[in-house]
Amino acid sequence: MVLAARQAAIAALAGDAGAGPWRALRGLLRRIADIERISARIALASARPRDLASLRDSLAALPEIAAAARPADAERVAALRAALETPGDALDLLRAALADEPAANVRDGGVIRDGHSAELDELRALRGNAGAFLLELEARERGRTGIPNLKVEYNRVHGFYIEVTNAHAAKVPDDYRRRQTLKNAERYITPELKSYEDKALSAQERALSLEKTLYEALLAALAERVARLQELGRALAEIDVLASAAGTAVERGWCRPEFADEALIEIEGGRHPVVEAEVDEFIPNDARLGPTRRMLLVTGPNMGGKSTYMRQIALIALLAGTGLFAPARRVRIGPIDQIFTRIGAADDLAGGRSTFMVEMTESATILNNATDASLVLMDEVGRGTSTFDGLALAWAIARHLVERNRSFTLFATHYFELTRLALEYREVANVHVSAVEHRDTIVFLHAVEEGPASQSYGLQVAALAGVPGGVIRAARRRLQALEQQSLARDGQPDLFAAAAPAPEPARHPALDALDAVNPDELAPREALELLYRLKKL
Amino acid sequence: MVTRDSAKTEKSLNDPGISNHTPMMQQYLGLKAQHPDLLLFYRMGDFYELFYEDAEKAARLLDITLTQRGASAGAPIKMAGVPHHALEQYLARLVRLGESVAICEQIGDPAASKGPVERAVTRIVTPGTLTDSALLDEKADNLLLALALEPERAGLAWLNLASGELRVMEVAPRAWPAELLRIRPAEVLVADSCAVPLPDEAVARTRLPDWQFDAASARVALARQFGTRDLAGFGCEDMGPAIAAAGALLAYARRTQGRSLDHLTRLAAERRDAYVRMDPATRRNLELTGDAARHARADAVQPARHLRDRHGQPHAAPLAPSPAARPRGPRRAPGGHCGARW
Repeated sequence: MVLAARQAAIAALAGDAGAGPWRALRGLLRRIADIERISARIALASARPRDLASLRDSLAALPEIAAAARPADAERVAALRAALETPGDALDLLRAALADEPAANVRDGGVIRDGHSAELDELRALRGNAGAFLLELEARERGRTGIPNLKVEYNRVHGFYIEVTNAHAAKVPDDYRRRQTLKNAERYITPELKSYEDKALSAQERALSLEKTLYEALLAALAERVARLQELGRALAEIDVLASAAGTAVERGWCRPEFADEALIEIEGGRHPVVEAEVDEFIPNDARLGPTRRMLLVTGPNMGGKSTYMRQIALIALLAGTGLFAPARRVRIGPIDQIFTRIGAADDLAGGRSTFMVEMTESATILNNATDASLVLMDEVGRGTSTFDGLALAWAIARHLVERNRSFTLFATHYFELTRLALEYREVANVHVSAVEHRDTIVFLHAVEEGPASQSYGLQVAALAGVPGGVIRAARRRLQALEQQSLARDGQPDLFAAAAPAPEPARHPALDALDAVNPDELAPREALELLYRLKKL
Repeated sequence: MVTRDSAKTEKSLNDPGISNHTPMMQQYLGLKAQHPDLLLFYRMGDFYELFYEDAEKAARLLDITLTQRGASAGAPIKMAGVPHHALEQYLARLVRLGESVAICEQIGDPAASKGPVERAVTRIVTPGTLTDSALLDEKADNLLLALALEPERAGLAWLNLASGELRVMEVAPRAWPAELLRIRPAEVLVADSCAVPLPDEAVARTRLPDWQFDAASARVALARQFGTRDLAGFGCEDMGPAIAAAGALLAYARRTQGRSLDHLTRLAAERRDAYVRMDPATRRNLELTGDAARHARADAVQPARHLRDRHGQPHAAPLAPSPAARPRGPRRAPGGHCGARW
């Protein structure tokens, strides 16, 4: 099975206590070029000299990589190691033909190695030896003609020439052909010098064109081996992914998920793979879903970590479903066919859809497509519309998910009314992210606990966010009124009750007590006692 | 959506007065007529020049100077150009904007020719067919996708020319937009008659004649490409539109490269039920792909990118997004597929 094989490979590369070959591989792989892309460019005859140089160096490093992976005892790793066998003929071709550090472009020359082609070597030597040849010719001609100041020189217009001053004109031999006459000197050319000139001047050009031909021949020879190089590139890429996955697992303490045959998701000590790397102390959380526990209603304060909690479950399920390790102490997971999310609110203004329309479109997709093997994340569905619409929709959507889709669902909501679903359906359970109230502010614990949240802490969060004190106080008075009123009705908080016009809120007894007091008449001790009394009210 | 405005160009080409043009402009217009939808970069000495509508468009897109040069057929020639050594950077910009470009080089010997030196289009650069390292993102795949829509099935075929990976898939007609958003091609090929809009407006769209999407001839062409008798070994016998799409794709890719594609040696069929599936909203919400940056809050972190960038090696990149972006379902993976790329 693909996933098990992948897991086994990662485990083997991670090794016991993280001592596996992943670290060595990571260092080695960093030096490897993208062989797949270079192969494609070879096939398209568009590979640059430096592509080939990095291909050569990468091929040369293959035995080292195969050796480094040897300690990893897994079937998949063994198969990949076998695929890493160096394509010796391709490497030989490259080593023989390509210069150690070739120029960027073939047209600049300096791409083919010395010694690869006798003809090219000769052309290059011609260019390199010009100075020595001219000096040797000059000495020889001086000896032959007896002209002491005879010079062999070169200029752009006339090419190579032998210059003889007029004083020695009589000594000029017959085989000199006049090329140019100056005021006090004549310039000559000889057949030997002429043939040298032809060779030297064209050597550069011919060397470049020969290099181009040789390079094209090299590309053509390599093109016949492209299939093998592609296979190699794929094997390297897979080793790279597996070694990187092993490295991440070791460095971040990720675990190897266990697969179950039945539908379930069990996570112990789960973390969010990205957030855990961003914050100092990430609080791990458990999650448990199974045939008898299909929906978790997640309540708790905003900012409390509901979204992070839900996302981390999806990401862990995804990583596990990919055959990778996951950020948790222990994961056990059954087959998951699809993951759906309805998170966040972004107006699709360009598309002309409101927040609520986007929200409902996504919800519709989920209700129409989620199966009993799907994982569904719903974050505060219904918040895009009015309270009652929203609550009613959220309630109906949650019921549909439990009854019809029967998907594994994480349903975050701030409608406490929904927590009552747990009483109606045995597959529904309440969990909440915890927070403690400290004076009027709150401290988020980011821990997920069983049961519904006791309150939403919305006012405290608003205060934290810097909403002015007057607004918070007004909101608190209004909240009290709403709660008392609904309590008076049926003994249980019910947002539906708020639909009725709110009567004046009941006067708090502490206010009556305060009215009865004249502060000027109080002794300090009495004042203190009064404070204690008020506190108890 | 980038649609190519070819109507105007064709009008100027069908102008009966082509013989009134200078010999060089006649050559230019002849080449341009073969590539009416592309920006034609016409090599003149050390410059690549664009003329007429191409020049106006390039001047606008690249912020280069639009000038005029002499006159041909009694009208001044609008012209804009880029120096030859800077070609790649201008190409990169155009391709990012979703444009396709035909590069016309001087192939004759200037000294030996009478009249204009012989020229030919040697290379076509389109957003989905890049292979040059200068034009490619080292850590992302650049995909060309062909879409064939039939009433019962939608067929997709996509190619990573830079690695030679060719994949096909068939889905229910309403499911293809989600697959398109998953695959995220740089360029989409559709038949002329295809009227549906693409879900991602940033993708370049190229239209091909309907006859190029023909399943029967595609089977023959693909088998020839792979050097096989038929496509039996690739697990796609039951597919129709996807094969038609692959055929159109192959022909188009070949045309842009101006040569055979020897590194295209196989085809992989994808089946939806082999993977954990996620709709586009979920990919975005879980911040799995780069797209999240566009939609999510500025401070959002992207798990996929975050983890992906831990792979230090360039060649990990083309592969790395795949496991997370298209994971395989635990139990439903078909066994024979193991050795294949994830």
